Amino acid sequence: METLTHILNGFVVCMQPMNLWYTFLGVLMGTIIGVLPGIGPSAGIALLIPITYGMNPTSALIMLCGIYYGAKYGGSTTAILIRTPGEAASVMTSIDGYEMARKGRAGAALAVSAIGSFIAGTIGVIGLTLFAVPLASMALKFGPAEYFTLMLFAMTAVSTLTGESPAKGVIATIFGLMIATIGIDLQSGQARYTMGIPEFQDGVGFVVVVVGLFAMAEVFRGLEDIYRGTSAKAMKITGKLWLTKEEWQRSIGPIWRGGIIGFVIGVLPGAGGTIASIMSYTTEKRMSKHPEEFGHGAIEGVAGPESANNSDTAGALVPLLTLGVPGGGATAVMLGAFIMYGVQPGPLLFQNRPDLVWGLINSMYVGNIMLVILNLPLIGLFVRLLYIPVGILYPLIVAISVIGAYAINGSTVDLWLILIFGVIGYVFNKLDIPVAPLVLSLVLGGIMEQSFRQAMTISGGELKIFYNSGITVTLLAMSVISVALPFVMPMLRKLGSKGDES
Amino acid sequence: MIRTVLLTVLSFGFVMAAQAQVWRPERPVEIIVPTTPGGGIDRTARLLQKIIQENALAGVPVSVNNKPGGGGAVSLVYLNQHAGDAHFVAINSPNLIANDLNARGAVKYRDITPLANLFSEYTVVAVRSESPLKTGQDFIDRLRKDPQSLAVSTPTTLGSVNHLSFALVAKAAGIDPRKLKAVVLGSGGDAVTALLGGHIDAHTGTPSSVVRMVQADKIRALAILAPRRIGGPYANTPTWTELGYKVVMDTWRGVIGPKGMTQAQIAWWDGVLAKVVASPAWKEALEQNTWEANYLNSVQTRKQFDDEYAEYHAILGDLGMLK
Repeated sequence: METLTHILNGFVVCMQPMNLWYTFLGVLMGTIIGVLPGIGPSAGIALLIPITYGMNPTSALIMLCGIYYGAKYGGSTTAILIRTPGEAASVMTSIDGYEMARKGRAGAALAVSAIGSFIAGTIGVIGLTLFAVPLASMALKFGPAEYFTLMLFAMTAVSTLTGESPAKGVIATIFGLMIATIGIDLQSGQARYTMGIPEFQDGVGFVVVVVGLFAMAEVFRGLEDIYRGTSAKAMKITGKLWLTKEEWQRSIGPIWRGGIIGFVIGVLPGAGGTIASIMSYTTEKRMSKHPEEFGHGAIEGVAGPESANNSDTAGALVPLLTLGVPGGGATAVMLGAFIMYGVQPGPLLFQNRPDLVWGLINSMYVGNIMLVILNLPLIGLFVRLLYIPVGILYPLIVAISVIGAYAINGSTVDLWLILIFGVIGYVFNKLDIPVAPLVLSLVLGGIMEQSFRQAMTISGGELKIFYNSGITVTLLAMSVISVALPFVMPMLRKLGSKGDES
Repeated sequence: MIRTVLLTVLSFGFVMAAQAQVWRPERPVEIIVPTTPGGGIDRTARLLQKIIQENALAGVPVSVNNKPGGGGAVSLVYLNQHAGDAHFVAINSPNLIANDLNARGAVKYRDITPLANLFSEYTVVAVRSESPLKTGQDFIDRLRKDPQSLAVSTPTTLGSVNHLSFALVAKAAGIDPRKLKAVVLGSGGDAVTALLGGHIDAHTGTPSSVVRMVQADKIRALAILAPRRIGGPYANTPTWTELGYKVVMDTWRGVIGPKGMTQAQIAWWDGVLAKVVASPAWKEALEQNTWEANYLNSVQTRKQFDDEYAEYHAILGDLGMLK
């Protein structure tokens, strides 16, 4: 009952005109930061902290939080229109979202991203409101062994992402794993595959790789088309700008499921929005009646991941607020901001500062409404990008990619990398090697390896640590099922159809 | 025309001569941060920027420039590209010396100009409150019986200051540091989660990394590697020295300049930084972050670097990690 009073008081706090204004400012800046590749939410929040000096802590945190979830709205825009993920978690959107744009359905893809983000974002905040305190203990149950089995399960999705040729899928997967090993190995302190380049000691940035593989590769492909004179006409919008009834019906399921997947993954520190969106994508592909459409403009492949990466932000606030544990870069920066304002997130925060906690959480309901209102009218404006002639569009993509890649570390090495990965992406495309498994193994590889070795250190080399807890056993079983399913299902179907005949 | 040029050259010469005695910045000053925005080092730089600007200590604008990469190596290369130019300074930490010993960077710690130590963060050894380990002595006793019996997190890599702390404590108690079970769990935040969840037995890290949990009685700080007790939430945490193991490990934050700085330039920075650490805003920030006041000027800082290099060298040798 007391909690309910606090929640209602929180609405009073977040509806104060001043706080509404800061919510708006936050989500607006978040959208802009999301659109620009390279500047992600963590750098964005960190750079904007100085302008909050002297503000009251609640307003300041409401604004910074707005930047965080606002960025996830913006990330899909460039992913859909120019195949350049504006934010790491939008990488899956640049696969089917861009294909939708090529088919003249850019408006629908942008609309479903915005609406999906809104619904899932709200699901996430509801989850945060209801379960923040009970879920805090769940985050703690995940130690290295649990993370390893979770990553293993996520990794089995490779089979879903691989196209017709398993061998090509394996090539892409292994290539991703190889890139993931570059840098200083935390467990031994040794540098691996750094080739004497100091920038490589911290590993190769994920955004750099995907900007190269997707955006730059697309430019090379476009150049070839121009050279051969087979260049496609501008991607005109066909049919209505908005979602058709059929598209909407196909999207509802993925949005809901994405919302739930995103929230749960978000609660686990360290997993993050990119993994959430990949898991949503593979879930949708598995559940779909037309899995062959994925990679060629399936709206489910946009609706699911874009929803998942939004509810992930609300999930990530669970360990931050209740334990004072940041799950990733952006929440780590926010933790710093909390401390700077003299607010200590952690077990005591909900008791000591209910006004602040609930004001902040409730502002996210308001912020999500603002974002969807802000983003929907922009669709009409953004799709005009597609009418830009290719002679201008391709240089524009290169410019955005270069600025984005340079903005991450201010390093020219990253510029060479996007060029190199652009060539690799182009070659992969020519050879029909899918890039999705590469993206998956690149995201998962690092955490998977490190958590395996952490677990082995803790257990003193005993493998039993991986079947000691209910969580690890469940995840291992799910991994086995996931791998076996594609083989077992056709057999079952065969049996079933035989049964029908007889 | 010729006269104007001559005059300009002459007056420029005078300015240069004057600068030989007293140096002051003529262009905006840049504080280089070896990490991405957001962490403790970045916060230190932005705090420094804020205090210098609000009190007009520099007379020129101050900017912060993040140059992450290579565990700090990239920022050092960038700093030394401005050799002799005191408009460029960087915030640094013991990584400067650890990386030198681990042969990770092109720039040695002797290739830069030490300017100041701003504050210290002495490493604590912490367990979760349910742990049977109640005191630092319990911790030592367990390790003496079996060095492999405790999994201890040492963010953020092997050979880091936190890892060295663990090794130092063990060595002081006569335990072979090579037999210890040090686990690296990424950032300090990940380690705290794993500690709370009972996946590891103990954690070595900065007091600020666990302070909220200590206040909430979820985590117990067994002992601190400080020369004397630190106050606030850690007032009841004994030092290892009190327990009979004379070890100190300091995750300091310092200011360094490029190589080839003149005495006048160093003197100017000594003056400015001494004013910074005397300001009320600085003292307030120290308290907020559980940072320990420990200002050292440029001369003292150089000595600290040398002492630390020798100490790290010894303990890395014990760990068999020297290259």
